[in-house]
Amino acid sequence: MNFGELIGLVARSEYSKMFFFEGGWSDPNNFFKQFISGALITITMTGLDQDMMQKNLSCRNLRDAQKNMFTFSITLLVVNVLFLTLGALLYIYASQIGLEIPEKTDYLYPTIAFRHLPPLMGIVFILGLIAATYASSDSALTALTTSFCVDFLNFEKSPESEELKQKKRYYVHIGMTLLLLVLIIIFNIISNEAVISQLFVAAGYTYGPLLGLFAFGILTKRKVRDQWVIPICVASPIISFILDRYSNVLLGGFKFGFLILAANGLLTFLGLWAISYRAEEEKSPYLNN
Amino acid sequence: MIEQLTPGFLLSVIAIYFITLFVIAYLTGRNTSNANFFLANRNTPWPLIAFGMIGTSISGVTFISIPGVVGGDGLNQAFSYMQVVLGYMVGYAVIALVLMPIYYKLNLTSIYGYLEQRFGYNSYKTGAAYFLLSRSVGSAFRLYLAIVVLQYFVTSHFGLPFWATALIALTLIWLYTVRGGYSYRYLDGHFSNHLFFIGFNYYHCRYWANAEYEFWGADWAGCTERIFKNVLF
Repeated sequence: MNFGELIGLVARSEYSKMFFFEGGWSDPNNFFKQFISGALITITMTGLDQDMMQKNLSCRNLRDAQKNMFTFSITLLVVNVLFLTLGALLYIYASQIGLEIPEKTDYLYPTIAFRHLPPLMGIVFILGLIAATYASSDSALTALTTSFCVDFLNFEKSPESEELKQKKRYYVHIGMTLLLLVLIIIFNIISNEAVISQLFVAAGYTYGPLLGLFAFGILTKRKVRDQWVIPICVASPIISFILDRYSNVLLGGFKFGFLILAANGLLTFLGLWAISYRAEEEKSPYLNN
Repeated sequence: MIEQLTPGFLLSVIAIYFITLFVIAYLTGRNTSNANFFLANRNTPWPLIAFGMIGTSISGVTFISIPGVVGGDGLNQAFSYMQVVLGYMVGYAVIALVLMPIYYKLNLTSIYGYLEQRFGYNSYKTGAAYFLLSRSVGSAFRLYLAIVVLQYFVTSHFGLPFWATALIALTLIWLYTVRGGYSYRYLDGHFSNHLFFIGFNYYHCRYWANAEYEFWGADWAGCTERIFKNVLF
């Protein structure tokens, strides 16, 4: 079978259906639901994340950074099409050889792949695990160090000598490494899957206020009473968490799914609006600079 | 499949891997100023960054879950995941056309600096604190899962306790980043990582190493469960 025939096979199969409009808002695959989630996920978890954006900021200039972004997104699009095609082929293959589809469909590809692979897989497994973990951990460590130095030690404004700052950066770097070590050891002590994943979910709620803050800053021209920002940014993740948890009771069975991020951001936005005033009132006595 | 390999053998493979990595680092490394550590002196060629970002974003989910959902009948059945991917494209366009011009115009090293210029001190610190919080918990979590695997298959056979495995792993990461920060990683470490392990197997493994933020963010609990089941086989 050549490549063209392969594409034809997939296109004719039941698997290549891409757009889902008819199911309405309650269909988890509804176009608008999926599309909006995709956009929001990217904007917050890439665009408002220092770890992801720091990579972009290391480009020579804005044009290069934008070129990088567009190349990256087009590649990602192509890659995703390829993987969906691969998925369709795997299912077609599985039905041809009479392979039972694993209950968790995640296991389909590994099941097919592992069967045909020699013990070498074990070596590649361990090395791949290390390489993958290191690629993401070293970038996170650098981003954490940068954020702490710039945001909390005010590296860019302080008149201290470059030498002293390098020394400080060195200690912050060690500090962040130790912080990760302590967290890892705590996870190991907890050793309870449910508790740890709850912690992880809770950490994810911090993206809501970031979304709200940036959206308010970009979409409006209003100023805010800065001293009230902290309570708002603490309250909206907590309210969102409760909303999501009890949406069955509170909202008659509506399930937020990923849209809880939007709700969280919206709550922050509304909160900021409540403490905002028009930019001309710059000399307001309430202004806290 | 792993039972056929002795822990001693695996340990030697890991040792060779790290020695290679550090030799490359040593040969190409340089001492770095703060600017270089934080933003690689703003002189990294963009294709290299795109390469790194693709590596970060195409993770286990892409390789395992995405082909898997095609034939299922729940969320993301058939090619419906493409709807999310199209959403991603809008997101990336917003980043490139709205957010990045702001970041570059304000000449930011930390993107949360925007909040200070726009709103004030408290907003800025809140944004940065939230980043530190979620990133440290998230990264520690991913690392934890990887260390559990290493501990289970390799180091426990040599009588090392968990904390010692964790300490060694973090020391290696620290050593790996201490000199270069961003520039160094892109030009050498990161790049070589990708060259070494590009290929299916690498991505198989990312699955276990990564608790996915990107798409499965809503399903972190489910994701953790998948990882735990896999780690413990």
